[in-house]
Amino acid sequence: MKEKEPSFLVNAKEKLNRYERIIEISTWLVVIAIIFGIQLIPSRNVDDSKAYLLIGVIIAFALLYYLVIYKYFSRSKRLYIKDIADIILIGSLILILKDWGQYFYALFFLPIAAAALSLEFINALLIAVVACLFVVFEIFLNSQGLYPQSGALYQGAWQIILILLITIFCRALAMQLRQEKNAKEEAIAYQKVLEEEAKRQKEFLSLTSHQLFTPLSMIRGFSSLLHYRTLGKLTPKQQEAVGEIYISTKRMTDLVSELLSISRIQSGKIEIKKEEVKIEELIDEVVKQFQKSIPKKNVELVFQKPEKLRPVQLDKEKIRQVLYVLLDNAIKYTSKGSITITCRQNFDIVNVSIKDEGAGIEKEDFDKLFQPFFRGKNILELDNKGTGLGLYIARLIVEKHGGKIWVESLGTNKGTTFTFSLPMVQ
Amino acid sequence: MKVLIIDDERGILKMYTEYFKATGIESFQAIDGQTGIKIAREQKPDVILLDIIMPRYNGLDVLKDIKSDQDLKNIPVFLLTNLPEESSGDKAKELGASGYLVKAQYEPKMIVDVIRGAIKENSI
Repeated sequence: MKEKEPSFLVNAKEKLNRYERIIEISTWLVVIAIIFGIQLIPSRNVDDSKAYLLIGVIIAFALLYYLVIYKYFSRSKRLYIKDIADIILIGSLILILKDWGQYFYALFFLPIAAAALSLEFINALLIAVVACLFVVFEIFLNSQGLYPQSGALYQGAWQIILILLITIFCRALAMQLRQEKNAKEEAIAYQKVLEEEAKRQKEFLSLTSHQLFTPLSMIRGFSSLLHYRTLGKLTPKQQEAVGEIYISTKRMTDLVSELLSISRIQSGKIEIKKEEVKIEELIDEVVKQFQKSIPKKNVELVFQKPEKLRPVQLDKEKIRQVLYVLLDNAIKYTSKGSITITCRQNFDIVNVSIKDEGAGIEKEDFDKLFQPFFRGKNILELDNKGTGLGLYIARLIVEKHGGKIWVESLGTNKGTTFTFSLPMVQ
Repeated sequence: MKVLIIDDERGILKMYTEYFKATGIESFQAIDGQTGIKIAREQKPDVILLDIIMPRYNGLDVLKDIKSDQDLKNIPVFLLTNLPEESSGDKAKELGASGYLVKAQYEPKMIVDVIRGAIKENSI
């Protein structure tokens, strides 16, 4: 099925057709107006019967053009016929006007320019040659003897040169315009392809996520019912087996979820929806949620809430995700001690730091820490269940905000400080 | 508490029904949107859990119809789906959903915590 053209293209074509019609009629109207105008000059030396015959020919050709040629010929053939006919009409007019004719040579430029702008170069050149033949014919017709006068020859030569120059100039102009038009059309088409591809990828990711999560959600849900004995008691061996299934499914779900998040962030499918947020309140919310979940651990979570901070333009849910990752890591790798969260504004930057007294990180691992699947050696000894993607996702989100994330530590068992900075004005 | 679950996956319906039964929550199940709206009118549940991808009548259309129904519009509706929030979260919010929960990340127990919180908030 033919694809429907966009409305702007349809409008442009209609506009162009309208202009073409006006240009088509204009040559004939100008010729007729000149004939009638000449009638007003008392000292005219014009054969009136030939002039009226020319008007009749113009009207007859116009009828032929619109009733037959317009309907049955392609656009280029139609314009070719019309341009040749126009040259003949203008040449005839110049001959009929005799002495006055020399003032109307410029009329040749109308069909020549139209041909050069819309037809192939060779066809435009043929039309120019027809015009040149009329010039030559006129020179010989007006000569007194066998040879024309040198003045008339010079004048004719200049007229022919001018006709050819105008043909070449209009042709070059047409090529330039066509190139620009093609470049614009290509850019629009390329943009459309990109948009379609982006849409297709977004749909693909959504459906992939749906198809992967549907069986996982059932395995996770049912195994949680068994694990928490909602469906009744199990034997110790069954309980142990179900526990493994449950924990593995949770890890699998987290992994798939994080991989899909990365894929969405990297392919630009996740939009950062910025809004004005009081960052200290957002941190407070997250800290309170974590404080509820760590009562059994000998870890204290302290948020040194600052006063009078200006709101920051950020995506609240995405930065909440970053805070979750950093706090979750800090709690996971701190068996005893305090975790301190601070938030400071320096000019146009806000810095959020999470400082723990836990496992620490070796300096050589600092840069690798924000790469996918990297996990420090001492961290692996403490916990091998993480996906190794959390800090990578945090980095992608912070960078999407135009910010930076980094880590500082004095080494193993000497605590760690993660800091991320976000620009206030973005 | 009365919960209505609308989902075209029988396994999901069975899983939540088992959990609700074990925890003393009265629940109703619908395999498609039309049946769901019919049951909602009859039973007036305290909360509706609604899937998005369902044949013919998808969850977002069902939500739109619930929110434009004078008898049902005040019932909190949670979209319970495996589509990522980026794809339909904004639309769900715009249509009046009380929450957007990704099934794989919410076990039945977590869902009950969320809907209990919502009902408590609704009654305040």
